[in-house]
Amino acid sequence: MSSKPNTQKGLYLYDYILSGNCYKVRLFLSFLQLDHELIPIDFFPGFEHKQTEFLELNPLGQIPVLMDDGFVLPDAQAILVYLAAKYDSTEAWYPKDPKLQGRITQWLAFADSITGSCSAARLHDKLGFKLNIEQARKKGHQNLRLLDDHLVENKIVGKDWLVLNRPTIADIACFPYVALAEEGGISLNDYPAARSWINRFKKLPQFIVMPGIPPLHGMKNNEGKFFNQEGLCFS
Amino acid sequence: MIQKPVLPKNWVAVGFSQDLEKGQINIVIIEELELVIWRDHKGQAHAWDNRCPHRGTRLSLGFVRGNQLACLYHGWQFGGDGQCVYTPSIPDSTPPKSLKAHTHRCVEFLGLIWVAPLDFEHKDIRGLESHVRDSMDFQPVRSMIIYCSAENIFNRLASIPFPPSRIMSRRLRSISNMRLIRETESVFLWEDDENRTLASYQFREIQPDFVEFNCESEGTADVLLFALQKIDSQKTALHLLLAPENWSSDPISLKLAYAQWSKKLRNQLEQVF
Amino acid sequence: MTKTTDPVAINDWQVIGRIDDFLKGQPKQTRLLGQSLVAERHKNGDIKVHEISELGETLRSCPVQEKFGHVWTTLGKPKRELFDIPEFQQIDRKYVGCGGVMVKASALRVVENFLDIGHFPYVHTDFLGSEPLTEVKDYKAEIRIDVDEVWADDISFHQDKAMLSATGGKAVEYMYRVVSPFNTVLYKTCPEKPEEWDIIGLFAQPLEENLCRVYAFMLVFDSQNTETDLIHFQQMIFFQDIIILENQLPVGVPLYDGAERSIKADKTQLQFRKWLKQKGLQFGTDQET
Repeated sequence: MSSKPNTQKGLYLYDYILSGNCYKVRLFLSFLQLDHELIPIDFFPGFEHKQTEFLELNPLGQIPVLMDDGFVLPDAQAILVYLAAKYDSTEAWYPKDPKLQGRITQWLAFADSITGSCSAARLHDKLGFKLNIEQARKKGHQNLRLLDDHLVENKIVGKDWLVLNRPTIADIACFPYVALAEEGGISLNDYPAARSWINRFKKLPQFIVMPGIPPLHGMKNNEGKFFNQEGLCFS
Repeated sequence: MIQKPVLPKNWVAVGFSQDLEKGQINIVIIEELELVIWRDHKGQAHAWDNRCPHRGTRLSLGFVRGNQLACLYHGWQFGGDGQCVYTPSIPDSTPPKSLKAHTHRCVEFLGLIWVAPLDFEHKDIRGLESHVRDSMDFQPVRSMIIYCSAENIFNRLASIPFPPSRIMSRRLRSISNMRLIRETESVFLWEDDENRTLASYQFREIQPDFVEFNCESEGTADVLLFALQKIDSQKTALHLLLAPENWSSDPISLKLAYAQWSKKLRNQLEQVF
Repeated sequence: MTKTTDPVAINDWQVIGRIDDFLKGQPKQTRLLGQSLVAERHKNGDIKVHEISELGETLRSCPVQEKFGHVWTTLGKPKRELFDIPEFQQIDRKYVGCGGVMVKASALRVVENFLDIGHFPYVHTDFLGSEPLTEVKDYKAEIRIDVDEVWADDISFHQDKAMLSATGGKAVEYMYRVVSPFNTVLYKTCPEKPEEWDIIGLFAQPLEENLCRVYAFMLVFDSQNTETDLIHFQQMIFFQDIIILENQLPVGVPLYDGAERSIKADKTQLQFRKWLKQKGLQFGTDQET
């Protein structure tokens, strides 16, 4: 691996720049404003995540892997839960309420299904991975319709996000591969509520981008307000 | 040779006003023509061909700056009239008058965004207004895409689901043997075994692809509006509005009930016969 | 689709993979210009490439060469040798291959985007450019008839993070060189060795009119960063472009007048289009209807 942490102290993320699962952790680290160091893995074309050294870290051969003061944790969804539980003192992202935690966990599992469909289609279309593309896209569309319907009905009852009227780790877990779906040939044209939800993400403070998820490109002045060509603030 | 799609000469509803915030950009398709719909910061909605005249990039990827839409590729900015007003690569130049995005007519009415070609003679959508009962307080339920052609939606109405449970009494819910029959071309009845009417639907075409539904059961009558947007020969967008007999009781539950009802409708319409 | 009839594309060398992609005893199928191919490295180390039919029958054998870290073949009889990139001989340069990435676009759109500076502030924000420093100052672009290449020179653009080895924003100089319709390299200011140029290149394999596989590579002087760091940086930049490339209509590059509007900053692309038109290339272009 490119640069192994030489100290066990601190937060490290084994990361691939194009991975949506790594991005959701980077995004959450940004929301929580946690100092961390990225350890780049040559996922493609090197398939470093399938090599012995990495497999010792995560026998499943998957990224991301988090290392926090020597505690090694694979799986994007598990990392989101861990980071929220350990570092989010406001308890906003993973509230300590059994029903909400149950609901959030339901969406974390759903995020895995999005990975298995939308992300798989993207790996096929972009990096040439061999898999059943029709099946991946079909499942992707089923998942997106479910998500879109849920967002529509949530909006009716006054919730802009998957579980609450503010984002939780449920939203972060589902966001990347929905936003990247078109790279796998899964058009988002039929899911207007999901597109609005993607748009809302981009307006969150501390939002960061990844390739394929461009920013809203508001120009910001010193007070963080967007302004137009004439320098007029508009929101 | 594939013919370039053109807008039909009619007002077409493409979505709800409430779903397009200031600065938001959306992509919609009308009869295979792809449009970018966006709202400037004054609040005006716009509908253009979804293509930057520079390198053909979809403008729906772009961003809104004040009252201009900017293309993501090179940041070219276009004013509300489609005129290119700024090319950042040569910031001090004035773009030629001929450098324009292709614009369409775009208005808002009944909480919906409507699009028509610029040369459409019936410029005033208010013509529609006289056909919609003015005493009604219509509110959006939802937009949804249905894998069914617009023509087939009406052909397949035989499969319209029973009204949402909120207007369905305990008595009705306990009846197990109900059937839907088409009384006339525009009237549907749900009946029980003894031919008693449990609920009825009556529809009235206001204009092609814009239909009013009366949904009546046990003395409660809700009015629904179906605004249909033909996407292509396989797909239709349905924008559903609701004016119940009474909004006051519990409007949220009512809207939610109809949103769930519309999912059943979609399922039934998508079943291949 | 079926094999193109475009003689310009057929009678030229095209990339079909990285040298590392072809291992002994592991035949690989691929596509080139609408034609299915099978390529296999034999025991003696040579790669054999054949055109195959829809049913997998071997049709004809194609010439092969391994150069610049990649494998090249042709479906016809090239009128000239494969182009040269002499910097591959400089052994102190670090060569980094970024792998083949598929793009649902014409390979010509990919090359054209590679030659474009004006998009840096919007597509590669905070790396290759940012507002308000968006101006593309005048530069030179020409078809060099003696070498049959397109070149652009005297380009300078303000970049925040021009290369992984760059520290702080500064004006960066660029030269562009199109060596064949689907292959191009650029030269840019080398942060570590100011007397040299860093090189970034793209070899695009035209699979179909609307689909290509793009092999990006770097030939740089960089003693600080690992190969993985460099791959991540280059892949980040390229995937920022992909969202644009897969959203351009028409898919092919239009070579006829009036289809797309251009400005002064698009000089290189206009020379590129003129050069393609002179060659009579059709594959990956949009034909006037």
